[in-house]
Amino acid sequence: MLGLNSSSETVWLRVTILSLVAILAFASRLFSVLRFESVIHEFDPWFNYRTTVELVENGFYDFVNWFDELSWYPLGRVVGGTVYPGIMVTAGLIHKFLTTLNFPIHIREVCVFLAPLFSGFTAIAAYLLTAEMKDPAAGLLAAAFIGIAPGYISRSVAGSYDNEGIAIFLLVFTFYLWIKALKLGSAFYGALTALFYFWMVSAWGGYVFIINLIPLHAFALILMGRFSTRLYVAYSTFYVIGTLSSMQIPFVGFQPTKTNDHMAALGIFGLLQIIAFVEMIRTHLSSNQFRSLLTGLVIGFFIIGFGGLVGLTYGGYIAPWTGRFYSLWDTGYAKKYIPIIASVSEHQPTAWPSFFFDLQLLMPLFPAGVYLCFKELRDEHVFVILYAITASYFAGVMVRLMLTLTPIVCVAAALAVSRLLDIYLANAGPAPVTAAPATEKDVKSIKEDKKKEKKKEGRFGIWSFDSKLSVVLPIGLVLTVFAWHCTWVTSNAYSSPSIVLASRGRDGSQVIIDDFREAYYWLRQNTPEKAKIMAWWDYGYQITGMSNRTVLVDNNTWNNTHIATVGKAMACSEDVAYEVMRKLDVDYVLVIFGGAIGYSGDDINKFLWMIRIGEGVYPNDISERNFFTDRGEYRIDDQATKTMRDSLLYKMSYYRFNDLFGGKTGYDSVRGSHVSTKPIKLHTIEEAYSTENYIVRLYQVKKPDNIGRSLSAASTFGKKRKRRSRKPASGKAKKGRG
Amino acid sequence: MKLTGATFDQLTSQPRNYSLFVIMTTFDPNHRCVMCKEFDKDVKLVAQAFGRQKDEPRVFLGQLDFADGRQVFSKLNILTVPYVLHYPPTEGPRARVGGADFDKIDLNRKELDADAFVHYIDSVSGVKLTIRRPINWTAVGIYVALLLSAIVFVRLVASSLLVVIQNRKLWTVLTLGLSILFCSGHMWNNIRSPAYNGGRNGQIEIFQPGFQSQYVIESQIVGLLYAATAVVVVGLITKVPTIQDPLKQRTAVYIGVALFLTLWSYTMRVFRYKNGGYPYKLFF
Repeated sequence: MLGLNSSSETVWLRVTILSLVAILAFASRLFSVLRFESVIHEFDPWFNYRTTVELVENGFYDFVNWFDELSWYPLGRVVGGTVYPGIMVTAGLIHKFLTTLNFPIHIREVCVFLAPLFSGFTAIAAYLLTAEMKDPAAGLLAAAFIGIAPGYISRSVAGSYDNEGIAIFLLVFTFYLWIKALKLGSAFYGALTALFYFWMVSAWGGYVFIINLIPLHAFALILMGRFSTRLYVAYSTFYVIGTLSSMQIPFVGFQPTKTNDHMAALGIFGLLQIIAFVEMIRTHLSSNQFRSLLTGLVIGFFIIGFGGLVGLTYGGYIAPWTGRFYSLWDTGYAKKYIPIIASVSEHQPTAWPSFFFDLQLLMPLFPAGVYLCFKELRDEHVFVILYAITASYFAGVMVRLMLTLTPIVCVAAALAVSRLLDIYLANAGPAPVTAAPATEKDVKSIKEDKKKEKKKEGRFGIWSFDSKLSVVLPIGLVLTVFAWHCTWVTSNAYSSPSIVLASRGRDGSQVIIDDFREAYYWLRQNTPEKAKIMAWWDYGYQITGMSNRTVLVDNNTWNNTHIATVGKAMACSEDVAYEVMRKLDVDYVLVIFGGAIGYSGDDINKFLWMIRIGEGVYPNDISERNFFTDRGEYRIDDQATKTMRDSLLYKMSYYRFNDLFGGKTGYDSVRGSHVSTKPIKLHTIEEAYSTENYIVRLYQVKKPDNIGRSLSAASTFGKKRKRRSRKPASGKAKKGRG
Repeated sequence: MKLTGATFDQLTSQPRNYSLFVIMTTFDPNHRCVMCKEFDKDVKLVAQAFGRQKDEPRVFLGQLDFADGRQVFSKLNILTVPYVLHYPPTEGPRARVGGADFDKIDLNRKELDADAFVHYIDSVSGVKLTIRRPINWTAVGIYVALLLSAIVFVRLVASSLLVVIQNRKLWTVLTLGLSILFCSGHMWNNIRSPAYNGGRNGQIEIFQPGFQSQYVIESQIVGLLYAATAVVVVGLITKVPTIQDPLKQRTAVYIGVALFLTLWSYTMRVFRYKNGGYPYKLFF
């Protein structure tokens, strides 16, 4: 099955090493579970988890027809038709399988450990793919690389239950099957490719990469004059089955026939048919006639196809490149037209330290490996080259797509290292040039050759033992450093669940900061079941997942206007915000505030995006300019602009913040500045709860005044005299911190 | 419409049944305002677009030079030019009730061109203008000439061009060059357009401290380091084993390994500039 043909010892050795690599890949992703506990991480995974629970509890059909009332109030969300269900179904099936075997495991554990499990599979898939490129030895190296490369670990640690967790395995395995199908010209492997492509489509939007890269590969092969019946069989099977099956996913639907993202695949499919037809005619015509016919047909088809595509796009029959994908080409596009996409940190372009951080040693080895592919340039090497160049472009444009680059970097680097080790680890001295490169199989025969003709000209190999050693040892050294680097990065950068934070106390002991769950649990226990919570969209999934309450916006950012409305409420003065909140039936408002403890990912730091997104829709109500001082600074202290100090978010963040400092002016440790000395008064909302470290602050929206006054008028009524004696609004729930 | 201090006050006095956009600018050579001149071209385009409007004008465009309206500038506390002010109507269907009398539009912080300006005019006053940029005939001519010469060139050298296109080395260099370029942060430079290098206390700063940002020169250095390391590795794989003389070969191996380790150690050193807490290093 693994394509091995050597002696049984070698096979066993390989299987053992590969299993160890897979176990290693699994184990190195468990830092967060060991350090904290087995929890779901971050934001999106919470939604996936919630839907998976729904799937497991109510079955597949309920899941597909599920209308989620908790999100996007008052719009709701048709979940079945708007998600990639792959990961939920996968987790559900594993859960079902285990329970059938009488392993009573909770679905949460399945979800937490799904990504590491599939990372183990990815290592095996990388082994298979690389073994097709060179030999099993290179495959083992590639498996080891991808098992520990931080670029992949970043999205697949235990608890990060997200589409990418299984998608990378599917990506690599689909490519392996494609190469296999192409090599053998086998319809069976072509169909398998399509099957895994279907799984991939059901799991991740990144499937578009596959459906464009494989046609690109086919096209390049045609241009290089390498058309063959193998290509024809493999591609046709893949395209037909793959496209038909991908249309079964409700979220994808008829897109494969309607959007430009998928048109390249269709075009290549047509082109292949024509070329196959022409090849058939060739047997009946003289070569001269044939040549002109071929060029004529190919060029004619290309022009007609392209013209037709442009025409249909203009006619509105085929959707042009969709926003997210288009922004990869026209990099200024997102910032101008879809700020919501530009605001996500993982959609930013990648600076070089990130590349180094995620791939380290593999980075310089990667071009070397690609060069070696050019040297050999079999059909599958063309694939590596195309993959390398497209993926490195995408990774450069968007941090998140580092993930698609990592597999090919591992494969290419493994090719380079394995070639190097082949040469410098060979027992024998230089072999005649005519002999094949010294794979393990050939070593013995070369050895014999060598004894017979020792000093013949034109040999390939290394003469002296010490030069071999002087290469192998440093390579071993840098590889070891690479392994250290990977562990360090994984442990320090990628293993934080982000809903539970850790910091060090003064004595160096670990302090767990669990404010998020504290607040979400408070919401779950203390608010009416139908309460509507307003928060910035980042926290939507977590609130629905952990508090089981309705939110206005969440991380599925499909409705820009709605998000902008929330942004408007946050950025405007209390009275304006109150109107918005009343219209949307908001009962509670949630803000994240890190100033008390130094948590930098809080709402004040995200505020500019709220303003920008809000301004995009409500330019008359919000102006980004007004939040900056005359000198263009973003300040929170006494010199902050009036708009800033009046904004709802500012008030909610710093409400009674000064009281923490015993009457002195509060010091915001994130912004590194004092806050405004004027006490903040709230009249449309009141504080409901603040967590231990003040990270989450909850406010309840007041009901309208009984006799129809505006709430600001009502709150000042009769208070003119005793303004000095400030009444704690409802600070009972607050925990004192001295 | 060219304004002076007096006409400015007259036009901006209430009540108004029109929108007024005033471009605060200066052409005084003493101020050397390059931006003003650049923006003036775009303003003229917008003005021409106004001229093509057929229906009753509700929107006016005015320009106030610093020399003509010094007191206005000081009254409104405008320190930078060019600056656009918008006076919304106080009467009529689009009248603004309450709020400030005028808006400042800081086009500097967005984009300083006719399209952004027109977009803004549309969003506040509902007047749609279409910009017609004058066709730049010289540019068109150059393009046509280039295209023609390209066609002729292709025609003439078709056969040798085919050889070039089929040249594997060319493609190798192209692919590797591009992937190294992308992997060393070129796209970041393209999108964020950072400074070429920085300076601090009069010294040239090559590596910007900070993980999420970089100078252009940084990515060039890093790209070169990657490329050089890759070349050394490729050399060790393909060239060194073909050396026939054992002594020469040994020398080559030692040089290659030394180069590899030096380059790689330096790359890690560079990374430690960016990330102070990075614990690993080879020789330096």
